[in-house]
Amino acid sequence: MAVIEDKGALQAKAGAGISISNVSVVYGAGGAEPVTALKSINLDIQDGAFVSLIGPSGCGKSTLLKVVSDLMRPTAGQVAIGGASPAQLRKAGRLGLVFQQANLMPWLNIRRNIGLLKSLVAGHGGTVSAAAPSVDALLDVVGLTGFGEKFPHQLSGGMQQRAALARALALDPAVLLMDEPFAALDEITRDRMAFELMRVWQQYRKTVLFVTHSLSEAVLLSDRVVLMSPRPGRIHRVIDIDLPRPRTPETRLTEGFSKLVLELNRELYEVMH
Amino acid sequence: MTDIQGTEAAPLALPAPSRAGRVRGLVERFGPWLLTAFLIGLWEFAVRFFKIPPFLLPAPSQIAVLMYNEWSLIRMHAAATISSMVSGYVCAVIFALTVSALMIRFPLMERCVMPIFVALQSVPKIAIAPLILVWVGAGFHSKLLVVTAIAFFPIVINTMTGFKEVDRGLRDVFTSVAASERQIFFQLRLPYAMPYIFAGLRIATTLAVLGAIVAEYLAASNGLGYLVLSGSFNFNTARSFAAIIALAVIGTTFFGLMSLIERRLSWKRHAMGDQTTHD
Repeated sequence: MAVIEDKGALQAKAGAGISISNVSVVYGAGGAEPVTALKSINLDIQDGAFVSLIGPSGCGKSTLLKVVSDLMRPTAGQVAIGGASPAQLRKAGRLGLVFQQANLMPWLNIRRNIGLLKSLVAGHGGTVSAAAPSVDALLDVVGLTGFGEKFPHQLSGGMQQRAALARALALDPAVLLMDEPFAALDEITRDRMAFELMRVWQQYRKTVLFVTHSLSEAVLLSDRVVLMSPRPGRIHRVIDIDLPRPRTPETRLTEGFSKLVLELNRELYEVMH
Repeated sequence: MTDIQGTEAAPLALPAPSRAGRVRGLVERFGPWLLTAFLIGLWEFAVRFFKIPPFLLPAPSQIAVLMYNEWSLIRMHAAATISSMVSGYVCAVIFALTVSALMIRFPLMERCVMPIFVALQSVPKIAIAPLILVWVGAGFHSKLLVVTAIAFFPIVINTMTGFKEVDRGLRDVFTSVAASERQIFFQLRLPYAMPYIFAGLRIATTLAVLGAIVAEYLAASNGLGYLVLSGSFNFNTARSFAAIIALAVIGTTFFGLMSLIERRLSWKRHAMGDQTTHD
């Protein structure tokens, strides 16, 4: 009974905040040369916020995202998403993941790729949230109406990544966890995708944790930017982005925008030297 | 400069094909058939002109006449070859796919068995055909076993390669919703491995024909392999040729059938496109 109530609680929350407390990840712990990838990370993300993780390579931003996604267990500390553990949410199919590669199944058309997670969760005895949008609605949201019967290789890189975003939204996730989702795209497509993502985010208001290499992308998209520093990976600074929404291509021409990018640049320089 | 523009514009303008162009098009399309017809004609002419005795090299026309006259005999032997070849092939497919699925499910089994398969892959399986005959005796069963033994290996090795090469990123998608082992096998590994499996299946068709012929050479009283052998023993070379032609048709049909099934069931590897790039 308690379990069922618990499930109900998970489904009731459209979005959820993320609370990371004292998370450390040590590779090869107990071995001769343990490597500390993350050291005592504390971070609270409120419900519906868009937060970017940024930092030089080796700062552990992808590792942190993996811990929140339950693709990796932390050596110490814990993560709570809307009061539940990442493992619980993963089993309930409530984590929306977008990777650097679109990772679409090449043998399924776009419609079935987007519906895949739903059928997997239903297939192993899970419950699909009643709020889960239909595949048609998702195709519409990401601008792929009319492409449902196409196969992944018939789509451009940007379109494939849109399909991956639609798939991540298909189970009405509590949070969206995105690991450099636009890194493999060309500059122009990447730019367009950023605005597309903001539009989708405005519509669904999911909490987003977004890993990126691009300072301007982070400033453009986020409510807060978390700058991390390497060896061992930890949080160097958290910067609030108070630029008004909705943000448009013109936002990047404002003084506030360039100031923030400059400040981040300076901080990043500090971190690396 | 004008030259380059001229040649570039040519395909766009779609001029009426010239006579030379038409001939060229015909040759490109039917080239292999025309060449084959020419070579057969040359063969016919050479046999007649040099008066080569038929037991050395029968003329194509003689072979055709014999095929027409002995059609029921050829059909009977072809049926024997096809039945043992197809049943051996089906056994090999079922056996290889089952063993692969078990090896994926039980990694310890894979670690023990797979190295043996890989080592055996490089042993010419034809060499053990006489032993199978010693153990099982001549007849349908020994033929079936030889075919199974020879067709099994490429299927199992290709299938395992496909099962094991599953893209890490695609796996993460399944892991992200805690998919069961069963779902991962049937909805990820199996479809992912399809192009690999079919590559193995196509190699196996060729080997299955070979296995059936060898088994029939060794000890059999029927089958096209037997017909080739008996034809040559009796200096009825035309009959050997007829049997070889029948074997070629069977082999090609079998291979083509497999490619047809592949097109129905599988996706193409190159369709993966840029998914393999990592930074």
